[in-house]
Amino acid sequence: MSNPQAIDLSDRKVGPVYTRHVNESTILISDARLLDPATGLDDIGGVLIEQGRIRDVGAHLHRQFVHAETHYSLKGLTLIPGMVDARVHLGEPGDDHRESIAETLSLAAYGGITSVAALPNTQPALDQVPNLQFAVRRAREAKFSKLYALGAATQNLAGETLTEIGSLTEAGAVGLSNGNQAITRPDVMLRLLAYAKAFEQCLHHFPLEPSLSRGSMNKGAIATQLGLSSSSRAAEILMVQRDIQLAKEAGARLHLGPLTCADALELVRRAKAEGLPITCSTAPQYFCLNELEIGDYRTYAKLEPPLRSEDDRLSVIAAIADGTIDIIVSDHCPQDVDAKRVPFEQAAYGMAGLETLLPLTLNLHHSHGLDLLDILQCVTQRPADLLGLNSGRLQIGNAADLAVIDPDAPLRLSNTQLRGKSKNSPLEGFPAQGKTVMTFVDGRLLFDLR
Amino acid sequence: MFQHDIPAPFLLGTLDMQRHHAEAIFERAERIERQFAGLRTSELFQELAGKTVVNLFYENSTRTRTSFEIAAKRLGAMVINMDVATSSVGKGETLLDTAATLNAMQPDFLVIRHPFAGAPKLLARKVQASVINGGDGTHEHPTQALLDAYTMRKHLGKDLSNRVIVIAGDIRHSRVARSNIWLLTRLGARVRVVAPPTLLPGEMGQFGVDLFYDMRKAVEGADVVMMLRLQRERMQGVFLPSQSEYFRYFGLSDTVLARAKPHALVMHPGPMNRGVEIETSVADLEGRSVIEEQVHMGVITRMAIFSVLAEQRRLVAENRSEELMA
Repeated sequence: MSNPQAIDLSDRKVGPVYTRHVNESTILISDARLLDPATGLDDIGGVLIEQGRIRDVGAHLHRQFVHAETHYSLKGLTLIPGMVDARVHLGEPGDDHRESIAETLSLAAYGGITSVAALPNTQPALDQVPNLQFAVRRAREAKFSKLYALGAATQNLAGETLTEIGSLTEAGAVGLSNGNQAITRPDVMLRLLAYAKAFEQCLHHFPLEPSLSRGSMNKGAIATQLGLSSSSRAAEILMVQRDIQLAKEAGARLHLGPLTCADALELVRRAKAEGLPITCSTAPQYFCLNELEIGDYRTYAKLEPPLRSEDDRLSVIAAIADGTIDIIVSDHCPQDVDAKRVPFEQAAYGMAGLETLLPLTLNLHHSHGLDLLDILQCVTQRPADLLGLNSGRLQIGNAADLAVIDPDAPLRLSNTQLRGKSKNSPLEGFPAQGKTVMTFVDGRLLFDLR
Repeated sequence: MFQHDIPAPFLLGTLDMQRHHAEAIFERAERIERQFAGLRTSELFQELAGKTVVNLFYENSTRTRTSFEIAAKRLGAMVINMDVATSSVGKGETLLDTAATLNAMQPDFLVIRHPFAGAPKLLARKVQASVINGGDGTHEHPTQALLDAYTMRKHLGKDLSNRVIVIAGDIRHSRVARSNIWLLTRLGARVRVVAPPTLLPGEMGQFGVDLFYDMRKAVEGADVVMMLRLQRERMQGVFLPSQSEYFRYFGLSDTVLARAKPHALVMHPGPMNRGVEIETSVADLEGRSVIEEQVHMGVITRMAIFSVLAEQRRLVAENRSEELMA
């Protein structure tokens, strides 16, 4: 069954537009190792930036041959397209004490992420055009990385009534999401998937059946030993299965994630083999850590979905390796100290993840032997494609959103070194490699740690 | 309009209607319209004199019931309106028991409207009267389709081949859409249906129509734009986010209509929700909107349907009498 063409909104779409703060001068970055997962480029060379856009890329760009007002010689460093993070929780509007939009975007820039897709689960939710415009306006004022909003899929994220998806699309929504609340009613889910087709919007669904996932950690021996309430893997598996079936019936695209367990990934693997337009994501915590991290009731390891077993962790890595998992997201969720310094059962879910996305993702290369370009594709081109953004690749004419990294630099992650005011990361002490050295957004150098 | 398991000539739907059957009704309607124009309202046709028409409406519909009643009375028939709400039907009588009771009273025509698809056919198998479907559930509304096509013929000419006809709105729940799709494609027209995906079954593509989500593209170069009524209960909830979003993308406004052919007709089976599926300025557009004319043609077409069915009943009766004599 082929779908009719989507509604043409090209003459109606407005934001978000990020052209106001462009660096007007000509910039040459040279002598860097260029990595572009979109084309497979891996070569020593340079990038020429004009008017905030990529003017030229390649081995032929050298200082001797190109005149530029500003020049950066980056011998020994690696230049990649700025990363695209497709799943970030905002503190603003509503919970500014956790993190403001400007703070979120500065952390993203420090992490080498030049575009983030914000979840709509703010207070109020991004379920109406003015709310979405507010977030984007704040982002524009901040002049750090770029923020794109996922529009709320249902009004007030209640899972009952559709939002004005057409109007949200015109206002610049790059996808639809219901935050961390799964849409439980199958009839609502089916009609949402169908309705979104008219506007070519993809639902980013968080597939966790609420009635089976109210607990604090993964169901199993450790939860029983610690005496903690637990969430079953079935919560994820059932919802993924249901969602695939409904997307198939609706003839719609669907993005699921973050996924954490072997059986759910196997379902996606089979759906893809069947040719269904289903994509999925995971987050670094699910391939770097397992449920043992909770140890002595460490609330920073309380996540949603919960950290799973070691077998699940290995299955996530296997799914990235074989392409079942398309993208890696940070699932950045800042929580203030008071939300975490409480008994485990009462603690809030989530971890700060923007600053550690790069080193943890590179861990797949350094510790598990995955190809560097392949894993970078999970944080650049593929999320950009999912969101319909013209970024995530070193392409002439695109905005000069770039990250300069040292992929091999050894470091031990430390929460005190996190720049955000919410430092809730369970990765304290985790040995990793790879750090961001410079980030450019629209040709503007946001920071330089050389 | 004969079927071996149905005793009398009938009009149940357009799906099985042959093109020449439809043409016969159109020609009869033209004749009636010509004759009717020369008469004062007091001078009635006597074609159905002595015949009984029973309107059996299980759903409220003043418009359609009145249209049938006037059509029958203008042909000289006696019309009984069964008030379903206060009759034995309201006391729990099944459709088939009602059919048996009515059959015993020997009416000539039964016009039935029912909330459930297939009810008119069930009734038709059990009665000697000619059953006319006045709309069953979300299945068929053949008299509406015939009057729509008849109205189009008056403006576009008798041959609707390759005319581009857009049907927009709640296709999923519309019996008007189904009957129109089947009749118009049979008449050779190119039918486009446009609706939000929640109200547009993908299987519709198998009926020989083109499916659209984009109203502006669907209306491009159209000869007719037929808007369907959006039921209030669909406006808020799981099918659609809001009335305003529906109008923005699926409503008929001046700017959307401007993409159709310069003299494209605007149609609506009524009753309209102004500002929901159709802008007032379009609904009242002089020379383009034929919405009121559709109502007038409804009476003419229904007279033609009674007339053709009455003739077929006579033929059947004559055949039987020949059999008896032999």
